[in-house]
Amino acid sequence: MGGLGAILLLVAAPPAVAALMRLPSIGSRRLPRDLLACAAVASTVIGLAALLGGCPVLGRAERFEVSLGPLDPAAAPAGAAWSLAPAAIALVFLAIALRTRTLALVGLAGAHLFVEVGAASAQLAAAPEAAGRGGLVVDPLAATLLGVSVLVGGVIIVYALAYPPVHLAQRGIDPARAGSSVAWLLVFVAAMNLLVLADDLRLLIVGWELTTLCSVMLIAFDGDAAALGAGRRALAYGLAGGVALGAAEWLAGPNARLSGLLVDGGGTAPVAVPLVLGGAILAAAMKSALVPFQGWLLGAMVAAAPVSALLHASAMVNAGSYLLMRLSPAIADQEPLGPLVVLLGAVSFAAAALAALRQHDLKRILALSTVSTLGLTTAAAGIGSSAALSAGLLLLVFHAVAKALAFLSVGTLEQATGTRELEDLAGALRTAPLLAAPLAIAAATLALPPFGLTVAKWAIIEAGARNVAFVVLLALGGAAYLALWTGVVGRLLVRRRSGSVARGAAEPGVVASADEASPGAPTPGRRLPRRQLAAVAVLAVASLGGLVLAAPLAAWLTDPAARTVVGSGAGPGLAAGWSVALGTGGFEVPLVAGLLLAASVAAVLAAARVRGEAPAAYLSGAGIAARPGTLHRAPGGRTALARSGGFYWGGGTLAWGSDSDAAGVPNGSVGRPAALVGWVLVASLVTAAVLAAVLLGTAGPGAPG
Amino acid sequence: MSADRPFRRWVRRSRVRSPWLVHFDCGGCNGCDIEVLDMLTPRYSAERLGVVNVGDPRQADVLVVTGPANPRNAEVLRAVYDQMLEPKVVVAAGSCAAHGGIFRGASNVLGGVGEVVPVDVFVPGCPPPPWRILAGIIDAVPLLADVRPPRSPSGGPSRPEPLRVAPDDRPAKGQVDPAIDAHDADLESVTVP
Amino acid sequence: MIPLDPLAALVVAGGTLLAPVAVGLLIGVDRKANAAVQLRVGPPVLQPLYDVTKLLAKASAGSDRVAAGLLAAHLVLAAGSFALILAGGDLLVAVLVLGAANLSFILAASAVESPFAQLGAGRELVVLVATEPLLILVVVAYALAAGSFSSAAIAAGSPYMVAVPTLALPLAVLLSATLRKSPFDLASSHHGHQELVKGSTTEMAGGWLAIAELGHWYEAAVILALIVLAAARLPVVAAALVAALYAIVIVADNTLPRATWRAALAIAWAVGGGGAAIALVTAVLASTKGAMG
Ligand code: SF4
Repeated sequence: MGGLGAILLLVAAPPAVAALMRLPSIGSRRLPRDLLACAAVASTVIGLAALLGGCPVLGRAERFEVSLGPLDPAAAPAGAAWSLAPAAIALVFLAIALRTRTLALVGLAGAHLFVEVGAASAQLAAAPEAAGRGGLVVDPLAATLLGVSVLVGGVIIVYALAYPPVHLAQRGIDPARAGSSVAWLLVFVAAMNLLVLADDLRLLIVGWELTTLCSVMLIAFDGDAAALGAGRRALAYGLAGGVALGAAEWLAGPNARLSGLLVDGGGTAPVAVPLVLGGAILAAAMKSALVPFQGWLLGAMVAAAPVSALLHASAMVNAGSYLLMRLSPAIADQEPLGPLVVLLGAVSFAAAALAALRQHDLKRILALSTVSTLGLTTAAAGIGSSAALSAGLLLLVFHAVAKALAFLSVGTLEQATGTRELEDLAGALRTAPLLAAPLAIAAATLALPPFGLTVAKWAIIEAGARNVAFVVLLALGGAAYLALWTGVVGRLLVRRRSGSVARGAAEPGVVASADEASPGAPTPGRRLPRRQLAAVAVLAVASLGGLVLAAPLAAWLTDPAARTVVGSGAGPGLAAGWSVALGTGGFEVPLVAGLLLAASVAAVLAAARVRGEAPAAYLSGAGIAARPGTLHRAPGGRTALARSGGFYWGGGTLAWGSDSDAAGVPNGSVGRPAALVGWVLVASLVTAAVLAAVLLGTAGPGAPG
Repeated sequence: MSADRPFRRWVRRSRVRSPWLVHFDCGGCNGCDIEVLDMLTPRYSAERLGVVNVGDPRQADVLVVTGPANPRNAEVLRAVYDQMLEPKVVVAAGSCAAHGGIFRGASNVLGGVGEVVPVDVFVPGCPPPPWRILAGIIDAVPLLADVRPPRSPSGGPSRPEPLRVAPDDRPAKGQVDPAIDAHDADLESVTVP
Repeated sequence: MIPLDPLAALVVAGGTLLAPVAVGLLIGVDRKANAAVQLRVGPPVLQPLYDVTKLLAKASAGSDRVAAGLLAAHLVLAAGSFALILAGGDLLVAVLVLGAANLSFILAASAVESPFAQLGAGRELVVLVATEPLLILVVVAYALAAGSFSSAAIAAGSPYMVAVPTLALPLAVLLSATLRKSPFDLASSHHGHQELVKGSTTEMAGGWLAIAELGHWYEAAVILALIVLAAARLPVVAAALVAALYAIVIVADNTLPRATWRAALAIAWAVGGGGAAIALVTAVLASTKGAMG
């Protein structure tokens, strides 16, 4: 029974507080608003604890059905409301699309509305399910995702409380709107929780559409041209995913459940099962921004740092991976779909990592690395073995922590220095170590063994070793991924001779130290809010904790999660092959961790042996030039591609063509051939769904009833 | 002590056997520089002495200087020399590097590079032939065996005659270079001073 | 946790300590052979050991603190990677650890002030992107042929020349890259014929350069171990294999000077990647047939 209260806290409390925060009388005064938000975060954490107390799933492969009581979709009036809710959200989307006056968007929103209304009418026409079954399910998989969403999301929101005012002030927007931004973040977390807990498809879709809505609102929040453009693109991709998922729901038939789809299709006609799964895969690919649907996520970097962190780390993109993992056994059953998902993920992993190599905007680099990592989790879901799923989940967890850390620290750096260009921040680890170190820590945990990410990558390679194309793509992507983080940290680590020309003064925008903010930034970097630093510190500690935490997490959370999804018959989990003895294979985590520790100790000892200032750089016999010679600046004052200093692919021969215009704003990626293929897929799926629904409705064999 | 001896011998041997070059041109007529590069070609097989042209003073043991010292390059030459780690030697190749050569007495010439850095071996010639430069290096490497105390600029060569006289006549085509034979004999003599 | 009996542990420790000497001698032979190809006498076989001893015995060299620390980490990680293989551990883990060692070295190169070093670090990254995939593919091909990722099991299941003959190509590419020979010497070259002679190692001097060199020798030891694994149970064949690959590498070194980074990448991916992909396919087919037969 603790479950019910927990669910209510989890799903209902944040929106309530968020609604309160929209009230002008509260939003105008600073303290109560922050307190309210903190209370909301605390309530979700307590809710999570209570939920796990009521449904003990940690370390056990069990699932508990939880009912929402009178609000459960099995109950008659609530069921109708849940059925109609997606259509209502679709109406909101249509309104937004109409306001953008973009024909394509309006068309897409119209199609979305059509599909949602169709699905809703099918749900309403059918007899309600026998009451007594809960619409929510708590199992280790859901618990893992909830943990990520609530804990990482909570830290991000605490950080965000101080961020938007500065962010908005830097952009000349009324800081009073900061409250509503935090409110949207809270709703976002709640929607994600709903999505993860939902077993009934109607609940799932409500959560799904709400995350889309929140992301669009938050991306377009700043209201300038770039933000609105990015918001439009996010809306387009979100709508397309929504259409695919709505069509899938329509096809799956009334009262369909995720758990039902796994057991020979549940009540769904066998013909329709591949289509339903295809819709889900397509929707997940859009949500997770897999190549070729990465456009919206790259555009979303115009938003504030906490928004990016939430999108990339704890909420939005994880939804796609989660759905695929949940459906993994069913996907593996449908012959062409499983390998397709594996390939989709692997292509994303390699292409995004290679593309990231030629970027120099830190947020863009982070965005592409997100696409890359999610490709890997997707591939894990496609492989579908117990170890692969567990590894994918582990990857998801550690990626969430590291990526949240990375985004928040880039946000802090940007606030302090007014730039997020890698070339402008070259040497930041020397001049502003406190600000830049979190980013380096995030990079280390993303790239070094035996942190969770590398362990997961190792497990996924070993699980998918027999698929040659997959292994080749993984090897390429893995190398690019390693090179990417090495390159980024290498630039941050560059030493600049002290006593040379004060670069910050000589070149606007180039940062020499933390307290030397660029002109125009209203808040000098030296007074960063303590709450922000605390949030970053918590995430940094959590990231480094991955060294110790990976094994217990695998044993307590991800292995049981994989077992609940695929059953215990699908091979041993990850923890089984964990600290395996030498000579038998397996990731010798303690050993490698010891090695890493030994290397760190050696590094410290070596550094301690160095006395005094480093000698001047060797520069063709003369002393070092007095000015920073490696920074390349275009006439307009923006940083040009520093081909000699950094590491960039030239000319776009390897990665696909240039995807940003002169101002660094990504071009529309909708027109690209790859994306076109995706859109054609969406269109054909919708057509097939409608046709199938009509045919099944008339012929009757699969008709519910 | 007895255990220490072989180790010390090994270290001294290693230092002598691994002279890495850095070549610095103070601004002569470039004739000497071409000869230095010639000296590094396979014909003279300098690598058999362990010679590697590293082009980075911080990694080099032997500084080969050509051309006369002048006010503009003196500081740079000194910087290059100072960046080299002990033990190190300096070989001044050519008349210019020895005492200014044909530029001696010009208003912008200080004289030989010995005015700026402590030179260990002067190689005569304008330009000196490659094998003679190599011979100069061979003469200098025994000085690498031990770390020496800091030295002050040496000035010009104290003796009018060259330190080593290599045969001036070039070998006929197809004949073994007499200088190479001579160097092989030298190689035996420099192993451990 | 690590059921490794004392004797085996001793062997691993001793092997790891002796590896640099062996690699140094091998590089000495290599320099002699290279000189012979160019009709020179060449240095004594002990030359690489002389060089490293000399560097270690240099008067203390100043260095950037961060770079010095990263170089030490590079040495430890590379040695650890080799020890992992020697101890029969998971080959893929050893390769990932080697990647971490590479990362430390590249960071050490790019952390310093000299633009040459930073340029060299950028090129090291290119070489990393070119060779790291091959490492993983080679390991996976071995694992598919042997049915296990453990290097002990892979050694026990050797030789693999019949099962995956094309593996020689990526192994040759890897050997060439780890020995910094053309066309993979674009970051820091042994010879003056590259346009960037001392790139990534520009600011390393004295003992620090020796540490960097030793780290690279351990990296070479890992690659050589990968080659030996192809015929670990037949030492003569393994030695012949190393010699044959070495010959290919020396010929390539003397015929492909001044390759651009694009050429390096193309050669690595086309030659090495092609060979590795074919090896993977044959290994999968062979193991499927083995499972059915
Ligand atoms: S010594 Fe003669 S050849 Fe050498 S630089 Fe001087 S003038 Fe030129």
